[in-house]
Amino acid sequence: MKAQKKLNVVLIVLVIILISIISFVGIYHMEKNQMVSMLPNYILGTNISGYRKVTLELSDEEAQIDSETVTLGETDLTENVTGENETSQEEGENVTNQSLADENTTTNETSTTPSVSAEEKENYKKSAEIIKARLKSLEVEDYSISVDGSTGKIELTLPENDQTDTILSDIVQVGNFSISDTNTGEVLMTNKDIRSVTVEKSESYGYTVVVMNINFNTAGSRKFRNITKDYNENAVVEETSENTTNEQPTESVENTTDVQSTTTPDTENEDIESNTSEDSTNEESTEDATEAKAKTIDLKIDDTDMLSTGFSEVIDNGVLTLTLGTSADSEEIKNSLYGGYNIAAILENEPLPLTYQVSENVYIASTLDINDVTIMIATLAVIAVIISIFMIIKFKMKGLLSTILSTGFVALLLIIVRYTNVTMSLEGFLAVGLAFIINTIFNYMLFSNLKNKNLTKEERIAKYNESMKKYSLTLIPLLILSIVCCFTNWDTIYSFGMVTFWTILISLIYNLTITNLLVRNK
Amino acid sequence: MKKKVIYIAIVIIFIIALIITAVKGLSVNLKYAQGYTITFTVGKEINLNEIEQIAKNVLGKNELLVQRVELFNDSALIKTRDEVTAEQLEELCNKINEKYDVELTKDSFEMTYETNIRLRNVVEPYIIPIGLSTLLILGYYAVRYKGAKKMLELLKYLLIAEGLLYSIYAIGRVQVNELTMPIGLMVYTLVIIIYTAICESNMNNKATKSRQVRN
Repeated sequence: MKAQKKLNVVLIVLVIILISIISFVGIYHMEKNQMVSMLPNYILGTNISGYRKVTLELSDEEAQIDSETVTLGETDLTENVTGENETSQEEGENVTNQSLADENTTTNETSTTPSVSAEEKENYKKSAEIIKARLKSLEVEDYSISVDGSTGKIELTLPENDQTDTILSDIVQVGNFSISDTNTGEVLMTNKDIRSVTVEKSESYGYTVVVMNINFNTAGSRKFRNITKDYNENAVVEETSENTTNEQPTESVENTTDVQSTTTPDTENEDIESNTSEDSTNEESTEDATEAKAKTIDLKIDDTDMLSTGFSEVIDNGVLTLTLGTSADSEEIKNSLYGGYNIAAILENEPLPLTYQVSENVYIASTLDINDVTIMIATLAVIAVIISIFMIIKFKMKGLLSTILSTGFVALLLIIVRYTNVTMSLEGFLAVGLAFIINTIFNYMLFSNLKNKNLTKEERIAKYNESMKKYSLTLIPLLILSIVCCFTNWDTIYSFGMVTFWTILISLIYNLTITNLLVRNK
Repeated sequence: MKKKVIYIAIVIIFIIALIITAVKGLSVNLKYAQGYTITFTVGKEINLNEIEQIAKNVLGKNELLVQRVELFNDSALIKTRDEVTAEQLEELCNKINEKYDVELTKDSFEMTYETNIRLRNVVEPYIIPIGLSTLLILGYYAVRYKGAKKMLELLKYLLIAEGLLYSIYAIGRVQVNELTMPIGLMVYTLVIIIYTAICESNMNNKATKSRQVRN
């Protein structure tokens, strides 16, 4: 009976050693004359593998806010921002473009500290904040951003994944949203009218439809309802020829204004008037004729026409639904979705006060090379050895057993994180070290309870149960932390949360099975 | 009395750390600091250690950060705190040409000024998850240990542990780098786990004692 128990203990220890060898060394098989690991590789997080570094510089273009904003009474803002852009661009060039070709002038250029007004600085900061807000809307958490207060240059690092290029393709869009009258160009709605934007996909007859819902705020909903009423498919605008206009200009304006119900009637009248006369002058025909044209609106982002449409019914729920794509191909659907998320992130936030362009876009390997990771793992191993020595000194043979148990536990955890595709960031690897300590805490609790050598089997089991209960309760705060971290989008915290979650789960199972068996067979 | 002395010492350390931070700021490594970046493509597979060695020889004792750029292993960037002179760049170009038997010209090297990354931005992503976790854990403590005593003690130990870590960085002029926040997170987790284990043990011992008294 005693021999059987000893044999059981030896067998359990051998199983632990086997798991440890599989996890730390790996198991390989021959494939195409190469030894290939049968275990999946670790998925490394941004702070270990690398990241995308993007430099945004002020664009050559002077205009940041298009003329539509001016129509809405924001002339001052537009003028200010435009002025700043000119200055900043010149300064940006002075400070940053230091090629070796200009070696003689490099020193002089860099030492120049350009004087930037507080307002300019504020706009640089605001631009960075808006880019941050857009990244947050896109649920990108693992980024860093810095802004040069003297040149407005923004440096951005992003995680490298299949979404990075799509994000970067639109990140510098100014983001001026407008709904305007196709015929008159009058701006009817802007970014200020938007509350939120959502992108959804739905299945229909084997095809996936990607739609974007632009949810307007209260004022926006009211405006939008009026637009859908005024720009219905049956509404027409009277477009008159030169002669007609000259003869009856007042009538033409009055007619148009009647159809449109808007908030700025004076401006509208002026716009429509000038628009009508321009159209009329360009007319080749001088015949007295009246042409009927359907009333439609243009949906624009940064002066780019996204859509031109009329409405068949009045929409009073304050939601404009746009179809972004329909396909049965998953790749196309993914592209439509990513594109939609980008537009949503732009529309949901303020437009950029300045126009930026991407001047550098490169992949940078992590500053932590393989040596640093090796040093980190070695440090964790040293800590584990110190803890083990402490346990061996305190509990003698049981201490050695504790070390074996904790090593086996960490080995099993590392196998599980590979099979469950957990992204391993620095925090993730440190959480593995933490797992060793956590399991050692259980062993400490257990072996402290089992210190008395004269315990019967029942007493030993009772002590084990007591330790297990205590340990489970100890893990609750850690479980709270891991669950919160698992709901975070940020890669590194998520990695920590996932590893900690698996630590808790595996630790409970491991100690309920392997440690329990060892205690029973002792 | 002994506890009081320890607390006073801790408070003094915190104050010193705060004064140093206010006066000199925290010391940051090159990744977070402002500096000058020289980016170049050799066109052949390069060894970062060799590039670092060359850069160290040319640029003297300047603190350097050498990183691989793009996936082809033929481009790199060198970041320094101080501006690199034209002569140093020329020498760097020559030495790399010599080492890799290439004919890079001055135009192959691009030097740009990089602004610092604000530490506030580094800390920011941790605030919500850690803040929320702390609140929930403190709530759990209040329920589990029936009252605010243990809860406040946990909060106290968390502040002491994180404060001491911060003081080590501030007073010891240890460079804040990519490992700083993960280490802070580890310290936070360890304090919670160890203190909870102690509380559970104490509670268990009390329960055992009261059982023995009743028997």
